[in-house]
Amino acid sequence: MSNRTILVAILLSGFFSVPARADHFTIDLEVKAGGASKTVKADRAALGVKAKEREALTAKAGATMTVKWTVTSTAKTGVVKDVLVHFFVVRQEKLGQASVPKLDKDVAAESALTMDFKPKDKATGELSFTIAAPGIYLLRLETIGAASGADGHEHFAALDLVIK
Amino acid sequence: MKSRCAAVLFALLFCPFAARAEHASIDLQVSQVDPLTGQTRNGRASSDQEPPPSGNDKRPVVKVKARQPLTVQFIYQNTYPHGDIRDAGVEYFVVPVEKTNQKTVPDLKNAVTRGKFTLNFKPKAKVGARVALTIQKPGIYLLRVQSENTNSDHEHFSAIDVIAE
Repeated sequence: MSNRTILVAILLSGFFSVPARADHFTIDLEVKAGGASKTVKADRAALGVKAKEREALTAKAGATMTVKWTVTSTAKTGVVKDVLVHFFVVRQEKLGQASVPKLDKDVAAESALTMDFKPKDKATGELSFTIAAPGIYLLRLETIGAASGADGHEHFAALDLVIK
Repeated sequence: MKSRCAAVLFALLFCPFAARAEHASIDLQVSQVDPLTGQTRNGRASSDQEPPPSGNDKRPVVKVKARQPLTVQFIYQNTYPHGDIRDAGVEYFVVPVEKTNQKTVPDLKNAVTRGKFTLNFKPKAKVGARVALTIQKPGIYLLRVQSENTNSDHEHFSAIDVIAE
């Protein structure tokens, strides 16, 4: 098992016993590479929900990429407990790939944090990284544990990276 | 999701990372795999605190190759048990320094990589990151992860000196 898998596993630990919860979040995600940048808003992930088409950002291999994100609770009441905010950049086979690759190889960056979200609470992240190998990559920020009930959903924002 | 569940179970059973009677527990690692030999160079550090400046523990030193990819990873756990800490920060960076075990942290405008997270810490809350980077210029670098704004008379950090050859 890779260290990165352990990283996510550690941060996930204990989350599977969490009860149903509210599910209102916004995500703002900004990616910069060289002179190019893209801003991505939140999408929803749930059974039967088709994801929006992803935009793509092109960058050079070895260039420094900077990502800034904010996850904000827009719930009016209650506390969404033990939400995992998970970010990763992983190599994928093609642009717009529907399936999320396993994070057991070719991961350029990954982060995770855990937090209880009260109304208007927010968590932010900013990190820079480089991708050494050319290819197509998926950059994705997602909530895990924010869904509530049978019709609940998670939130995510994603972008394809074309590294040349 | 199945692979993630399996990973969780593995971590619960075998993870060496455990809460201690401190305000923070940090596991910081740097590793580099030589593309030719497959040999791994790595370093690891745990939690220290300031004051005193630069903490109480001598920093580990790890040698890596410049211009080759390496990976930095940390997991920071808040072990303060007495309530939430709002708008706390956890920052990490790799920045050139003049010498190993340097006591001062240089200006981060020259950082090779850096990142920061702000969140509300509740007891046992965790923040972690794993980032690939390449140090282009040989020299001595400080890899450090640190807490900020934790409403305490001290902050926690973990650090490793990285010599890029």
